[in-house]
Amino acid sequence: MRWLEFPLRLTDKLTAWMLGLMLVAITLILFVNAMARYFAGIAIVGGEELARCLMVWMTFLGSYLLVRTQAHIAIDVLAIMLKPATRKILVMVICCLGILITAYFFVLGYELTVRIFSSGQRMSSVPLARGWFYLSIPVGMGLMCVAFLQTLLATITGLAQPKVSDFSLPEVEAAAVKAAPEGKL
Amino acid sequence: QDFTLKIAHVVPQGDPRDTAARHVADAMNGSETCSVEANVYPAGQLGQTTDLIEGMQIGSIEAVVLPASFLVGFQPLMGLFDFPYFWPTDLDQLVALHNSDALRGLLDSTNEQGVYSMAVWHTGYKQWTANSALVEPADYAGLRARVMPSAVLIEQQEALGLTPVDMPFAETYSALQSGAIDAQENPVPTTYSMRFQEVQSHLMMTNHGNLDQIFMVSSAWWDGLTPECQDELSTAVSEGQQVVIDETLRIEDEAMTAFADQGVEIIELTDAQLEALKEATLPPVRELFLSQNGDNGQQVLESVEAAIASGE
Amino acid sequence: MASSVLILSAIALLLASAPIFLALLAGTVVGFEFFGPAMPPVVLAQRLVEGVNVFSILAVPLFVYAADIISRGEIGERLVRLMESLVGHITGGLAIATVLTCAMFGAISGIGAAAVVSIGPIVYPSLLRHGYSRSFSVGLILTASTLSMLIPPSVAMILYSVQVSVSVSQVFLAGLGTGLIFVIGLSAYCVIYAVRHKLGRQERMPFRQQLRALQRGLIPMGLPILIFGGIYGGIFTPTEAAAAACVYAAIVETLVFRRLKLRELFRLSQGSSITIATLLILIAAGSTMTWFMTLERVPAMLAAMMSEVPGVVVLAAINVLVLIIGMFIDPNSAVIVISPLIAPAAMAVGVDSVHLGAIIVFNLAIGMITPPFGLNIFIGMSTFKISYAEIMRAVLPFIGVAIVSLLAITYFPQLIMWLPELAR
Ligand code: NA
Ligand code: NA
Repeated sequence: MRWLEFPLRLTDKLTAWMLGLMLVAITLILFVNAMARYFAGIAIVGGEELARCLMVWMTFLGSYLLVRTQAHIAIDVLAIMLKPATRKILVMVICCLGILITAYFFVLGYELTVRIFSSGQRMSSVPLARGWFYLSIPVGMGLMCVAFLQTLLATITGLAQPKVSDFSLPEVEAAAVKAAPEGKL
Repeated sequence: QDFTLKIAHVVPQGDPRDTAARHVADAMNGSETCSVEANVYPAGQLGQTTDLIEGMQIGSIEAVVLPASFLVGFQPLMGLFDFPYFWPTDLDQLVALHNSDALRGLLDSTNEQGVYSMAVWHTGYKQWTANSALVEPADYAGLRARVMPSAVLIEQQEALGLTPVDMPFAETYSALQSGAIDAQENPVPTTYSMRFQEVQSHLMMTNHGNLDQIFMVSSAWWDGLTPECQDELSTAVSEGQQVVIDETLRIEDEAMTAFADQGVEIIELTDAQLEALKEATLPPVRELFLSQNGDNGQQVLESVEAAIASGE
Repeated sequence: MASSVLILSAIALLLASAPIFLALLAGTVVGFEFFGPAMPPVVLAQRLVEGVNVFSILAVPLFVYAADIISRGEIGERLVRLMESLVGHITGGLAIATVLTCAMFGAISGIGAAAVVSIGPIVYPSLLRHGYSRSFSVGLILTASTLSMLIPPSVAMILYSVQVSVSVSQVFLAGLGTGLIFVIGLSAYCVIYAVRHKLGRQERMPFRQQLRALQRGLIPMGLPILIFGGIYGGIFTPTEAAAAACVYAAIVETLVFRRLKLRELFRLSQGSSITIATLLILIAAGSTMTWFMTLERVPAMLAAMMSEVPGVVVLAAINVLVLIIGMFIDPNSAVIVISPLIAPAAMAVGVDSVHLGAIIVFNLAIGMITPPFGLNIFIGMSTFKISYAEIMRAVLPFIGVAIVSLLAITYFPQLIMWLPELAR
């Protein structure tokens, strides 16, 4: 297990860093685009498409961290009702499903990406190959598959997993929750 | 049923394109020699733009009706369809050109992408709308206009001194209303169905270009059809060409009456004024097209120009 | 057949506590692979990408980011103090102020989810401090946020107008009326709730303190002014406004209030990315599912069922049908798919197309807070860190209020139609 730990932590850091950059980039592209258009009459054609492309990448790269930190949303009524031992089995079954589905999409995404890159199709307003949109699927789904696999192993062996707060400012995650009086409903 | 024919397009039900697509679907469903189940998926239900064309390449969609501009990412030569003040403004001449050998050569250039461009469907000449009269090239300077993501159209707008803004079509109404953009170019039926006359005061009858649609099918699917089916589909698509034109003219009449009722000012331009606009836009666009497409582009452009000249 | 398999397997997985995006994807894959049309499966990967490759969705990550900056800094705190100082002492005042803030936000945003993340984190702690329960506060925020879909501008209404070819401004005016009725309905419920729980009875703040709160609120008030002025002044589009909000909040918090360092701002963007991914992957998976159901002609079959219904109950049937569709499909896709199917049937029995637009969009707005698939529910879960079961209980009374308002505008069209008729 240890051998998996270091490369995963490194991937986490790298992914979080890239996601942060993408979010800042999207913000600046749209903001600068609007300002240049209104105040200088300059059009940055392609900004819209580039921002969309970055958002697509944020979806699938971000979903890797989502699986890593177990931050995805679920209707967890059943899981809460189960005994810890049974719940562990449920988590393992869901992880196996996750491995299957993401592996399936990894293969599909790989096939699609190769095909679109080789068709030579260009994006409509950015001088890049259209295949860059689709590359996010094999990359993101591949990483998610590894993350589900690691979660499965961690559930069996009881290893620790990263938390959302490892990637953000600690206060932020707690802000809304801290203010809520416990158990008041 | 031996074959499935899903025809996808991105405009609402009742648009001329939709009516013609349904004509094709009905013809194929009613065919006796050819066992096809045909359905039309309007309004971008199966995809919005280039993803529909990719759908034909990966085999999820059989037929698509889209403006030629969307094929430019696959085949840059198709940018010719976006040329301003280039295509015949006489409707009969335009249709004859669309069915000419010169155009067939251009359309067949999409075959290498796995897309067979069957026919051109004409959906009306483009006119400008704005909140001021745009008569001379100088009137355009400094305005912001919505542009489709096409290098040729962007060049055309920049040549007039416009600031081209690429934004989603659904947001255009709000943007015109708030003044985030000032002008837009579209055929009258499109302007009318998008309700832009509610937020624009002037309509310029420039007839400056086309938003012509390509009826295209997946080459792989086409090759799998029996020769009888291929013939029937070709016939239905050529009939569709006329259905689109009839519907477009009908809605254009309805729209012009509605614009007049709404108080939209309709500006007719003189030949000299149109010539000045042509001088301002066509040469730079032509140059861009040639620089992007090299000898191949030169050849296609010259053969189409020859066909236009011979038609006059 | 394929669609029933899809829905059943997705629901089974949801109940088994699988991540929602995984349940939707797995359901779609099973329906497609084993019962779907003969079609290469790579199309699923394409639809997944195209589901989030949509310009107006950019408002989601940007407003989440802006909300994170605001809730970490001082802007939110100052805005809340300002609101408390003005209405905190009135019975139900703070709750009503929340409704009005969401309504105001609705006048700048065209989608029904952005207010949850941009207003929610600001008013939530304040509501709790004044004694409103957690479930009331969350339910109120999630519900009032849907006002963005009713009060113009509204992406769903533009899509409706284009599909049915009716004037956008007319539908906008009907939407404004609908929004106002809903605001009244929600406010009435807030008052009833506050009276029953004896809330908002504290002392009015001294004038000097109110003035101080107002003064401290000036820079934060620049944020809504920037957004409003920017959109209506034609400086930017609603989506770009979200980016402008991020930039304004970042500049104010780092340079003026000095609550964030640049390095912290970047770390914040990394954390926001995770929240953003929870929503984007859901939108991607949900739209892949919607695409498959459209391919299988599910919406068309539902509309065909409706045409069997006698004329007098058509409106009721529309409400039930759209409400059910809204439970599963996101509002903008739903509008595109169902309005052209429903409109002809409704107009045949004399329903005005502008009125119908308001009804359909209101139904879909309610769909954002109804189980099992409501975008606001999921956003609420990640914003307020509470469980699905708790959110269900939280929104239940508000769904009741919404349905009462819906019935009012459905059967008393003059309540909303006087506005568009005035402009005709
Ligand atoms: Na709105
Ligand atoms: Na719902």
